[in-house]
Amino acid sequence: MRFSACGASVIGPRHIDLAEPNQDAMTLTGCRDGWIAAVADGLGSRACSDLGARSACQVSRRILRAVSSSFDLPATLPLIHQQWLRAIEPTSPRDAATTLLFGLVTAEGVVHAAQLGDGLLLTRCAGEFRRVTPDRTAYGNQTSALESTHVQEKWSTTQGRFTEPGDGVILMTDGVADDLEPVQLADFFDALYQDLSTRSRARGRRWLQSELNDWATPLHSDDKTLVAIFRTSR
Amino acid sequence: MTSVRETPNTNRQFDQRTSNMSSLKKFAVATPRPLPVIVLADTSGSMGENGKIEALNAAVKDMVSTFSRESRLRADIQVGLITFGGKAQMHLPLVAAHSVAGFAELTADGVTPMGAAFDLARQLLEDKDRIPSRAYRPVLILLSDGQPTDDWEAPFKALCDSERAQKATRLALAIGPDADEAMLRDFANDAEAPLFKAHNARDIHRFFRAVTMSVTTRTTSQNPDISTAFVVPPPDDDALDLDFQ
Repeated sequence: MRFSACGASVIGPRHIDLAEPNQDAMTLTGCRDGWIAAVADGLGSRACSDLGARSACQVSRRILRAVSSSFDLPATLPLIHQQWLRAIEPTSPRDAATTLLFGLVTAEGVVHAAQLGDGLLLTRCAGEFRRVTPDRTAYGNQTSALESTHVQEKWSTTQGRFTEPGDGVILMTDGVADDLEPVQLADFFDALYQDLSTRSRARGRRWLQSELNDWATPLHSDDKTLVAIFRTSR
Repeated sequence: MTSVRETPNTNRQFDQRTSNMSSLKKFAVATPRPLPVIVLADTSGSMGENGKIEALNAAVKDMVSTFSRESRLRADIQVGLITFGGKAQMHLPLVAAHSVAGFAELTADGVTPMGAAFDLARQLLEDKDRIPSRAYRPVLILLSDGQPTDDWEAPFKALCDSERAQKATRLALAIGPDADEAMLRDFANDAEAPLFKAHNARDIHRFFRAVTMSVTTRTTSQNPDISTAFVVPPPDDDALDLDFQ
């Protein structure tokens, strides 16, 4: 089974203006002929949110790399939280609070993915598109996050299997997610597949960076991060 | 008469944008993230005394005008005006500040149906079509010079209990000695901005200048959802202003 995997993270105009670092982080790495991906968005009001976001991605990668074939997604969530708390020490969890979305795709095309807080988690399994992220009840940026306490119910999770080309998983932070037309998410998913599946990973990343930097929504300001993994062969 | 500048048809705009765009841009929302500012203004008969309503008209117009100039930086500041004098009504629908060409002067008349105004505010804050989920945290400003004359407690509780509406930042201005300060104090929920008391017309201007500064600072701050310092400018010593009786 072949996959196309690509990701990019760009700093938003607001942080450029304020000379602040990118508070998004991402990881994308091959693992036993499958893929591991994570994106995180450090809470903008917190002092060390960039550290929190980076640590969340690093911890996710480390834990997902070590999993066996009998992967237990719900049991992994508290483990990620626990190791994230250790990774950010001596920084307080409040100062490093961050959202986190991650996905694991095995060589056989089995996908496990989870989300805590803002952003969007989209999947297509057996040709069926799905928005895993629940509808937001309030307004922007009022989000759950990795912080001092683990609350299992605040996570959204999904598991499935990529059975055909075009199946895949997309993870993105709210800098992208909040500026997407909600009714067009399935078309967005397909368009991304069409574009990335014809490009090498390096070209795909450059193209994605350029798309995110040159975002079309007026007054867009946030950091933007997106990672996609698609099945490309039968 | 409320006047809102015409905006182009959104669908036609979207179709035109999508026809010659690279593949991802056509999925981006064509409007900026809004930052809604909603004023709940007491326009009951007593506001017609001591120049209160005149000061309010001038202060709100100044605020909208400043928002109009500032709101093209990092967020689209929107303004809505709910009045309660005789009856509660949407005096200015929630629209982008830069599209407000003007609005009818507020006039003071009738009783103080504040509860009905709370209902209108809650309905607006709960409406995902008028305030989308991608909006920055709205600001709700209540100003009054007297006691509510309707059953305000239940609508106020509904506003505070609403999952969506309760997330708005609430500021309050007590005008003159007869304002219901206890209720206004309960309304305000921003630690940066305790209840402000206006003793004269100048103070109404000062309050709205502080609101204006706080909101515009938010649009350029690291996180526009976090309240910024609410600093009421010092009074102008040269101005002669009589205190409200």
